Amino acid sequence: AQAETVRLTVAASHTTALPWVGVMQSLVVPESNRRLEAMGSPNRIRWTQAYGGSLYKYENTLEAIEIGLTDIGWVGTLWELSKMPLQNVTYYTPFSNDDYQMLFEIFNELHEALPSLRDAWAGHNARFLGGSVLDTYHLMTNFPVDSVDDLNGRKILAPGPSAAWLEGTGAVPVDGGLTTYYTQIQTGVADGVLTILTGAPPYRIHEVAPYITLVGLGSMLTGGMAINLDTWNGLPEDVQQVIDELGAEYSRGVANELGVRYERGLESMQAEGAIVTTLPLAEKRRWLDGMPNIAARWAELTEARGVPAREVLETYMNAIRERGGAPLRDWDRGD
Amino acid sequence: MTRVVKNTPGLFQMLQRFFTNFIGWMNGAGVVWVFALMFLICADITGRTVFDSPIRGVTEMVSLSLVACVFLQIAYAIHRARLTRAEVVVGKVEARQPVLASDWSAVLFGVGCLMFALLAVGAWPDFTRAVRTAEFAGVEGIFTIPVWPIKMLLVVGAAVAALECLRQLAGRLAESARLGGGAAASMPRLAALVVPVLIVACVAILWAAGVEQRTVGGVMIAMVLMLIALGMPIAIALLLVGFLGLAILKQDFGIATRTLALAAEGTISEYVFAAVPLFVLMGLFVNASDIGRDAFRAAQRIFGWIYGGLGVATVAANALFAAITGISIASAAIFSKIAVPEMVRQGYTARFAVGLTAGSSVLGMLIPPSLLLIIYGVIAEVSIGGLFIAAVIPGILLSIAFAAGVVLMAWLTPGFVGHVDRARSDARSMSWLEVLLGILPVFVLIILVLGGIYGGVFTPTEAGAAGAFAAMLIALVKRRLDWAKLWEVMRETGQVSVTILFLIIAASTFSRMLTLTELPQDVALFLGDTGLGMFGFLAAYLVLLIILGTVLDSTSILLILLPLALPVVGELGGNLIWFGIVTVVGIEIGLMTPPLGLSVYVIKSSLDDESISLGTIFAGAFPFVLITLAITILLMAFPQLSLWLLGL
Ligand code: NA
Ligand code: NA
Repeated sequence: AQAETVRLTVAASHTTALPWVGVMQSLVVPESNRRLEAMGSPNRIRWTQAYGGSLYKYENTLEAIEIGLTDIGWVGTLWELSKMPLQNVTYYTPFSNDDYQMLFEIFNELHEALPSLRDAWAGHNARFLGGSVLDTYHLMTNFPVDSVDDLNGRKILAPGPSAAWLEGTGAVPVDGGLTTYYTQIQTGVADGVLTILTGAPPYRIHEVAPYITLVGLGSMLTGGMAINLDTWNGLPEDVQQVIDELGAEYSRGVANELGVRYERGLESMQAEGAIVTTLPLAEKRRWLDGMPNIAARWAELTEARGVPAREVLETYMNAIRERGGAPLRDWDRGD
Repeated sequence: MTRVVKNTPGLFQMLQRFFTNFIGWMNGAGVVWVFALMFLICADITGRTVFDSPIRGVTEMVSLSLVACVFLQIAYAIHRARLTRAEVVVGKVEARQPVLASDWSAVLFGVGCLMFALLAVGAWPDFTRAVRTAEFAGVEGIFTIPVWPIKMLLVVGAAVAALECLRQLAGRLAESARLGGGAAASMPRLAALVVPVLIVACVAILWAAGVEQRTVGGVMIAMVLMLIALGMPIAIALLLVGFLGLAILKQDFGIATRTLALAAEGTISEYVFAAVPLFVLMGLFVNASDIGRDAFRAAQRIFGWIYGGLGVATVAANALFAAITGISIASAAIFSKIAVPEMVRQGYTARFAVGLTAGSSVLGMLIPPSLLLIIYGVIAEVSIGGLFIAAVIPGILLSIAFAAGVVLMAWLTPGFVGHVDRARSDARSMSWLEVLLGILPVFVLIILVLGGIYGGVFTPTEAGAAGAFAAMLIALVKRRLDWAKLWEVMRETGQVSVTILFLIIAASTFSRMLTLTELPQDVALFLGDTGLGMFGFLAAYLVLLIILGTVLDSTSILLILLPLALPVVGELGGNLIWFGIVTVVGIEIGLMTPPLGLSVYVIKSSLDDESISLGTIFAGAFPFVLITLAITILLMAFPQLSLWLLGL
């Protein structure tokens, strides 16, 4: 084939300080041309990189790829509950799986196995390359939590679908984001937050909510790296092959980085006075007992919109169990 | 065409009238909507602080509302010629070549029509899908709202704006014909087409030649500056060039069209942008309630004993007033009505009186709350609350410098200031209780807004809502608000806000295009490598601010320069809050410099005195230009002046 320089834009709504953006810059971009060269391919990629929201903001991560404003980018499906409901199944199945390594592997495989997951991307002119996951959710509060009863009557920051995790606890969910948590707790708008620990240290949340209760509500799929379908179809075959390879490695890179930050974050917050306890298993079961079947509710609402949510729910729960995971509740069984 | 009109004059005129009314209704809906947002946010604050139950979904509702409000009101803003533009060159052409000016105006409306039509077309697919798939915002089972109405308003609003531009275009052509632009005048008339032809040629060359991205970026910057200089509304120029650049870079007009829509919908749909209309609303309520007059009388009583004390009082009253309003145009308009006549009566020269009023009005943009700081905060993505706190010391510093300048000039240059006669002050009879009552509302609002933000009780958006609500109550208590006045305040809030928010959308489109050229990143790396350092960069930046400040308005300068400057500051390791403060002070210089100095223009238009020319006001303001410049350099040299209160 004739030598070709392919121009590709890679972009993200957030800065490279976040693992799921940083890994695109540190792995995907430099590694792509290295591999093409090693393969003896005459093709090269000329990358234009635009991170940090300079090209589009977090509400538009999917649309920006769909219309071709960027060719490759990180898509936050967690903000696309309406357009990408299936990719959000993890948010409706809490207490199922803390293992983020396992989680990205499951989803990269499910995207191969289930046409509905792939179609969701294709419906937005995109091709899924590799999933991005978050470490498991815990509680950070300005009061000690020994039992689930301690949450009763408290105001807990739980944006988006995570608000449903508080149903049955008697806690009031409050809206917010990583950047607003600190002030909201400091000023009494909230008494605590459901959050990932890798995100907490830079925002000093432990200064206002020093009680860290390890709950393990679950590791979540937040989205993934994707490419515009028209761009993909126009790529030389060897470039396609390299980008597909890097998609899977992207997922692993994000998960590895999370692992490093999780341990480091927990240690540093503890060193700065945070009190870390673990919620006993019996309490977690009590928490779950009080919670309505939010997975079934979600599946029903989503099926009503003509999207096969039940199939994805069942396949996902089966995949966890097959890999030796132990969900505290079988969201796909019973009511 | 004319024959059709002749045959059915009734129908055509009826359609015209209906269209004008329709634009008015849309605008009215947007106006009421903005007003309702204030109540919604106040209800949320009350709900969560008093009843411990926040209103779920307020953030989503407010964010989505902003886009709707802008596109409900944009056609009316065009109708009322409210889109900001640099009129210096156009004004000169108008005087000498009225036909050409009218034709050029028609070309500009043609471009506007094209851009709004593209926006409508680009937003259409997204709208139809939102309807088809019942797209929602929020979380199922907790709180959801359908998004198709917002997307529909975007399409409809853009389409109506395109029609309005088309109508204006027809009006300008008719005007040219009336001015006698027949065949005899065809040469100058063709001149109006030179610019569009040049642009098309330029795009064609860049498209075909496959030049480096950076070159495209450079050409696009030059193009946008040229179009702005030629009087194209700044938002339209940024949209047009952003669109053309995107098309060239992506080699695809479809992507560029869809990106226009993405930027229109995605740029301002954030909770924090609601701070813009809310602080404008607060400022206009403050104006309506005559707080300015009371503060001025109180300041007179306090500073009257000093030689030049009335001048000092003007500065002090402006500073107080600035602490409760975010818009500096307000201060200029009010104090030219209350302070200027009083100073002239007490023997100050008219030149000094108007110059001082122009000078001290710029305090409004530095002393928090400040619309410019809000806009900087949302663009640079730094804490608006932090910016407000950081601006306190610089604001006080600039006020003191102005006051000291007044006293010094009164002693040293009596010819410039005038022969001051303190005995003529009528505020001497004022009791201290009156003084206290006069400035009490000011302190209530300062404690509510700045205290609320500083204490962490309010986000800036909430502070805006609470401040607007409190200012409305004050105006009601002082019996300064009837229904007509209320509607005037609301409508003006809508027009000021929509102009700014639409400019932000346009600037964002342009800056997304620039990002794709990698020019800002390259400039940042280059400046980082040259060893020019922060000092060299700041010097160049200040010069740019001053040059752009001569012909552009503050918001536009901010929006044009920041995409280029922010990466550099990041690369050089500067603090972005400090940089925001020096940027805003530097930009204020432009408010007082000819040929376009907004503060000076506002004073001229609210003076009602033909004997005081624009030139006189500019001359009178010049000492304050120098003082502001000196303070800017001081703030650049000592970042601690801005950062100390933040504990940074
Ligand atoms: Na102000
Ligand atoms: Na100026």
